[in-house]
Amino acid sequence: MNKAIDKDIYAPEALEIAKSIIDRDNKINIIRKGNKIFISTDDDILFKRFMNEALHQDLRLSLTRKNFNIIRLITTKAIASAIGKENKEKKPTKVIRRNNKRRDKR
Amino acid sequence: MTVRSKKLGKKNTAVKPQNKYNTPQIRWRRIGAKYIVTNDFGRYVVIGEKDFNNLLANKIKSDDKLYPLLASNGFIKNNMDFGDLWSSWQKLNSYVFQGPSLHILVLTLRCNYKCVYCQSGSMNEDAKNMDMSWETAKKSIDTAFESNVNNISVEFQGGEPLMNWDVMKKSVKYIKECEKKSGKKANIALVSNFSLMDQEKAKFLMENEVSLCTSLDGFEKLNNKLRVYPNGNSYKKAASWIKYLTDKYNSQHGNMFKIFKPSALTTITKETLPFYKEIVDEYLNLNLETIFLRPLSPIGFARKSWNKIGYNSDEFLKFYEKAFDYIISLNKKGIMIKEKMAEMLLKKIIKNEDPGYVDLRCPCGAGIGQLAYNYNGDIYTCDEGRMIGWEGEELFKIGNINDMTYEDIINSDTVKLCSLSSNLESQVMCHKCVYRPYCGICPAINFEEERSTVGNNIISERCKIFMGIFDIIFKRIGKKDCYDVFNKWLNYEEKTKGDK
Repeated sequence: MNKAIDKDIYAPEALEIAKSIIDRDNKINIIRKGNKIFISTDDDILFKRFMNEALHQDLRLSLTRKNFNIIRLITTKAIASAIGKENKEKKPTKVIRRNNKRRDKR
Repeated sequence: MTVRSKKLGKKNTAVKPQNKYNTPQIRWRRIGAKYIVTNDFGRYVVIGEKDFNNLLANKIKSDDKLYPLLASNGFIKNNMDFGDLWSSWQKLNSYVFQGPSLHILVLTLRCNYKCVYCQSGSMNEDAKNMDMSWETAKKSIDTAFESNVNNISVEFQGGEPLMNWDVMKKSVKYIKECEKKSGKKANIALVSNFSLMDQEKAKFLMENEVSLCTSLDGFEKLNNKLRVYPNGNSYKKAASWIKYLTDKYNSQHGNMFKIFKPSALTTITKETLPFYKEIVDEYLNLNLETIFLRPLSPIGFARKSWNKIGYNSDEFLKFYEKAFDYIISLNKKGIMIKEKMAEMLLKKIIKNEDPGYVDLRCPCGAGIGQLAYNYNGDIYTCDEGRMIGWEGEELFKIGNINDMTYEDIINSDTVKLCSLSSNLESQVMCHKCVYRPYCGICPAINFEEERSTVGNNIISERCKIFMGIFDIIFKRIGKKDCYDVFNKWLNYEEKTKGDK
């Protein structure tokens, strides 16, 4: 079975990701001929599962692009906080404040 | 590609907040005649259809009865107190501002039980080279104390951790030393089947303020069927030590040290589903005030024997709803017993506070909320990741404690992978879900179910279970008698904390 894919609906990247998730036994081939993409497989059920997953991945990629800024912000904040870099950078400020206090007391 | 983007752009606009109505970003879900409405700040309202339509149509006027409630919770665009809402978001997502607080030390893979659902990859009790050495334990504790957090929790797990008692004893003493040196506070916990517990060990653990937790799956016959102890009766072992430790907890006045009340965990299998009432009663008989009705994860032996012990989300939710209603009815009669999962979710929903549950976060707690140190020094993002590693798939392994600094661990590709793939803003179902402010996905379970860390929540059983639990809670949160019980649970926790 060879089926042409509408590139306006399924991004090539989504097809590749779907293949890596669904097709563990390498039964699906993604064939590129010029501007067109064809899916070749003999397993009809696997093909349907693959197309569902491709649609899901396509939606997810669109959403990731749309929300990229907030995703990056939250993830970077979480990892930077876990490392503790922010606190390390703040340390000199604290030292200066302490020195200032001492000066005030004098 | 241009055509494609335009198409999707139009689709997305259609489901975007309708700005012409001047309503801020909200998410909603209809349950029966009521609408649950939430926003990014973690605030919620449960309203009827007429009010919901008025909210969407911006017809709620300032003299409307509902206006103060909606305005104070950030649902009226022209009247939003961003200072208050931001502080609410910060409280709910406080984990984003700190390092991993939970550090799991797998002291041994050896175990003397043969539980039918074992998820921890345990080995026979006479297996060799399966214990954590003191050097590895020490390095793991040193790494734990490097975490960018003031309160850390060190949890000893296994296998059966009491099988490596000498290393555990040394580790507890070393943690106490590290506490003094670092100025950080460490909560030490032991998860054990109690079969190897004796007076001497119990005394040491109590004196060093170690909180003790065991597994109890219900009444004697059921517990023994699921938690198989070839050399004895697993129920009697657990129950007798729960009683002993509870007695010590109740009579601790005047002690120099603080004794924690023992706790227990339930794992729900297919066998358990008909006995929702009996299980709760068993916990009450043992004076346990909290029961954690945990669904089974398809990892380890549980995955292999899923046909025998597993169930689908509908079956679990029917069980959960019946058990939950029974627990609420007991509370209404004045008997205190809490369901742990609901308690943690209610803390998020009602109090806008982070209960410290690493499984329900965005991003999830893998690596940035918890770290699991295997017996041989291998570090995993979480305990589930370690169990998957035991099955042969090392996707969640960060490296080995001997080769990595704390910064290397957090900066690893594995931690970044988990953080990115568990971000709900890139999840097709989650970013519009009404429960998104309180929920989270688990890359390890996703991988186990679908061979993808991102997962597909349209078909995920875990998603269905959590969605169902949220529905069950929100159906009751609008009822005054239930809300009073929920409030009692949340304030009770504070009271006991105060006592300690």
